[in-house]
Amino acid sequence: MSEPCATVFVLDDDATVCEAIGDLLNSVGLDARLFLSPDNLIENISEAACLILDVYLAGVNGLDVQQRLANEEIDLPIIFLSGKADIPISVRAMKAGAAEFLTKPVRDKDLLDAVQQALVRSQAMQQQKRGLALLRERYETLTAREKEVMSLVISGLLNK
Amino acid sequence: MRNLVFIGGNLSPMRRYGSAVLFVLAALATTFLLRFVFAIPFWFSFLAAVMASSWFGGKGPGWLAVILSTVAVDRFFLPQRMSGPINREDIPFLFAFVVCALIVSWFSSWRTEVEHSLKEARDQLEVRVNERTSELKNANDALVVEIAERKRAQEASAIAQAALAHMNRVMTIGELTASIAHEVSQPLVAVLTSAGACDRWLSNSPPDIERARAAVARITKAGSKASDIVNGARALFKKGTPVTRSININDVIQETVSLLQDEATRHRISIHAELDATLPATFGDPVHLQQVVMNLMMNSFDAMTASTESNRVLHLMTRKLSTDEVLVSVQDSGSGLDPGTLETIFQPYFTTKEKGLGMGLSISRSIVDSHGGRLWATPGADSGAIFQFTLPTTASPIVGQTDEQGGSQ
Repeated sequence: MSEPCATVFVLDDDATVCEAIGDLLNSVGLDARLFLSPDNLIENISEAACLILDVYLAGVNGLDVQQRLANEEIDLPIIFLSGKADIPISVRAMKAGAAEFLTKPVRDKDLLDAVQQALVRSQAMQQQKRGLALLRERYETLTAREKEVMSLVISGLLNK
Repeated sequence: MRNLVFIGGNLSPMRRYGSAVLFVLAALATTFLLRFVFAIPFWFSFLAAVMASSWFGGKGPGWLAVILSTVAVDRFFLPQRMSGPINREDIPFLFAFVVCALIVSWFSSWRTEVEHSLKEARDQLEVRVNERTSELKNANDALVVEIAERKRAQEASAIAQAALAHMNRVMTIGELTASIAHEVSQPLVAVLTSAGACDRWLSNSPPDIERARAAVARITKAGSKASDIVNGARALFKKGTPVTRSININDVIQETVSLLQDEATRHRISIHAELDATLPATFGDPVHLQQVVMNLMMNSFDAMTASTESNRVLHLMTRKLSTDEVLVSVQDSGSGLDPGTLETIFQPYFTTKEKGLGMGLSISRSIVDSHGGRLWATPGADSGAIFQFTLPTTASPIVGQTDEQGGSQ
């Protein structure tokens, strides 16, 4: 369906729920990594294409995990799952850049659609990141004098 | 004879004296008749007349009979002389006769009096015994009424207590609705997602039967978990008489923790349980004991949410106190207890919360009491409060359940 290397991270303190979501993702050909607590997750987050995150975790709040990722400047689409339709929390999550906020019990199709969109968004983000990196790389190949000329060119002058 | 005295005692003096005269006349007639049988006059019948008069009429008629008899004996049965009323040689005889008659009369009347006073005493005693008997009977009747009333009051109190406990459970469940909904939605998420996965594993070509089967197994597991939660919550709603059976208090605590886990998570409280796996079984009603654990945990949650302490930890602990008792301890890191209110908190309507009724601890204590245990509170070592309760183990004798106990062991 999408690129085979796309790995979805799942964080839910309920093992059965975690497993079930992982299995659903596998059944559509997606890789899933399951986490019961946020500690291991953050170490490996660079491999994730998107994250399915439970709002109410034992001892921690899903929003705190989102905040921690933001603090470490990790930008990836997050799909929140919440046990209840809590408007203030969903507003906070969306403001903080969540990709989707779904209420449990969620239909498998809705979840997969959300993951699909998140992966597209992730891919776009990756491409954008790659494009930027490429530009930066090229910029670095310029000499100091060329850089000066470039900034003048950008401001609208001719390069003659 | 006693009846005769009794009748005589009730007669008028006229009749009693008249009867004395009649007795003497009868004696006179008898003596006249017996003159033809015996050689000497048979004057003993006069003594009988005196005796009868004394018995029948008392002292006065007795004396009258003595006088009449003396005169009759003198007139009719002693040789008559012209020179005076009495012959000189007859005086000793008459004297002896009078003395005999007097003794008989006195003795008779004395006996009558004694009998009379004895009878009176006995009657009095009988009256007193009757009085006391009726007093006792009244007291007994009053006691029976009181016992019945007390029993009714106890039954009414038990019913009220059960209703109150039920109300407390319903209110607690009401507070927990969101948490329970979340608890149920977790396995439902697992069911729905696994069903979706299963469908896809089967639609693939070739179908992946193994993974489909694994998904179905997960559906079954999650489904039964959801039904356990629903049944647990429904049991708390149920009204009715307590069912006492052999239970492990650890199971009760675990079930309660699973109901309250989400509530704890929402309040950022972590629950640490140290449950002694070797705990002996106890006797009790699982629903009521769960209510106690739930009340204590909810109180701790409230105390921790209200306090500024950032480290919110609830410690649950069970251990064997002795061969007869297990101990359950609920410790929080909340605002703690005022040592002055350690006992008042168990009184009805005592509350420190705005929306609380103040019945939780009072109901919990009465439940623990009815299980033969104790519930008390102590301030925590550093902060917070510790609520502890004991329950008798099945090894220790419980009044009225010895048979059942033997059967279930």
